[in-house]
Amino acid sequence: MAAPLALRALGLCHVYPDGTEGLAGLDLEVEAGESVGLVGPNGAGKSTLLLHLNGTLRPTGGRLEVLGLEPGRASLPELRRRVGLIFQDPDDQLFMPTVLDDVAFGPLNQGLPGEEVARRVREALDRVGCAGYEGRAPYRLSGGEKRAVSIAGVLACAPELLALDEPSSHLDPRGRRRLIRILQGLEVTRVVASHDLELVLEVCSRSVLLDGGRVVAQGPTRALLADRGLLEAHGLEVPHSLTPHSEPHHPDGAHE
Amino acid sequence: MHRLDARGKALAVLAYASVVATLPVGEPAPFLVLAAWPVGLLAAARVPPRVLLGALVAASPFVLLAAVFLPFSHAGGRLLWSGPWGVEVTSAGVRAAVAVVARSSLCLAATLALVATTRFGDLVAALERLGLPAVLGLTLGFVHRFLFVCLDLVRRVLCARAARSPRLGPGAALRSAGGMVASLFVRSYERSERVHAAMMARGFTGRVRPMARPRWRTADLGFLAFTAALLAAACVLEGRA
Ligand SMILES: Nc1ncnc2c1ncn2[C@@H]1O[C@H](COP(=O)(O)OP(=O)(O)O)[C@@H](O)[C@H]1O
Ligand SMILES: [Mg+2]
Repeated sequence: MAAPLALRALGLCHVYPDGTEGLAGLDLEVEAGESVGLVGPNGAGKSTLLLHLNGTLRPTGGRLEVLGLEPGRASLPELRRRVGLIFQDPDDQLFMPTVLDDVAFGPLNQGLPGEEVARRVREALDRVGCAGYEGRAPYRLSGGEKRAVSIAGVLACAPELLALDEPSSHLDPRGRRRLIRILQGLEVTRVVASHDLELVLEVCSRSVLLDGGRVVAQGPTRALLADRGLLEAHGLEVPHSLTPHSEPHHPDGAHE
Repeated sequence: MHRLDARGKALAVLAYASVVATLPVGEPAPFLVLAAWPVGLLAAARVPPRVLLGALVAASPFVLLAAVFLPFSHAGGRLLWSGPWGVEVTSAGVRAAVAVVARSSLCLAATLALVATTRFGDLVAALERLGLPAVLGLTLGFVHRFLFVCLDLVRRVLCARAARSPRLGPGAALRSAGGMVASLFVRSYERSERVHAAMMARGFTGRVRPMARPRWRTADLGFLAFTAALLAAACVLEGRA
């Protein structure tokens, strides 16, 4: 039997107030436990889709179901509790005076008792390799550390679906490597929007190519991202590690 | 000093500032006693004297501006100097000027001792528990947090301008500054919307919930008692003088 669906979109549309079409009839299914990459050129609608997942944006047409919930006023609090959204710029997300306060922000808002909050904070910081950062000020962290702490802040809310928007922008190679390790170590359902195709290749077993607010193609990441003609038609390039003359890649790279 | 409850420190500094501001300036003795408080605290907290000097220098334009005119504008006391157009310097005026400088320096030193030994977030939380409305506290926290982000933004924009126009006349600089301010404003506004979305995404309901309520400890009470005693001593000395 197939795993239950974490996300189901049918003809999903979103028209911004100024008339721009962000999504134009998008069909997509994501199973629970999957790690799915969303790739596509700038303006393809990746961010718009992610903002629908936790109810920040509402569909203007079509159907959407996230973790069995239809977005709406009534389901909004539950949606926000169960879906963790990681924004493109960590500075938008780290708004509390210290790392501790910031990571504790979500669990405290859930009304959890003190010991539980402390435990969640400890585990989340551990997960992203930032144990001991509690007293630091977020604005004094390096880019990679900011990204790690912003992920911890969302993990501490114990989401069932994690959505990341361009997680590797603003990161240097070391920060990026660290991010990849963090993402590979998670078990929660993940949707990763990125035009860092190498990153998608390493953390997503399946990928979806978006353009013009629609799904253009989808399939196993390794196969999809090796399709030069398809990628170039949509403004993307085949990642170096998949080009024929580069080193042979590890066969276990496309594992589930 | 670092470990004292932020509420106690804030209260002590408030009490200190009100005594300093209201004590008449006569004998130097009470003021020396008062000066010992912030100086002692700064020393106990191992704040280098350089930091205090820096703060005093940074505040000096305002203080001196106020002080410089006082000797001329105060009637009373002995006439020390009489210039053209009825400009006069009186002893009462000089005394008032000295008082302004002394009072502001002492308050500044005390405030510095507070902020140098308290994390900003703790201070805001303490003020909230002492009755500051939560909205103001939240706003203060954000101002402090995003000041650095905005400064960074300003630095980047200035850097980008310098890279494209190494030598800018004052007129051109001013004209481009207009555009920069506008773009900074728009970017800050858009950022505020994204931050708001990020807060909502983590279940924000309009109220920041505190981690744990700090308790008053003996050290805090001791500190408050010590401060009260010192302030009382200064007042008694003043009364006797
Ligand atoms: N707040 C907005 N108002 C109007 N149009 C927007 C807004 N945000 C995005 N868009 C438009 O929606 C389309 C999809 O954008 P987006 O989802 O941000 O793409 P991506 O994240 O894939 O780069 C683009 O044409 C973009 O210009
Ligand atoms: Mg985007």
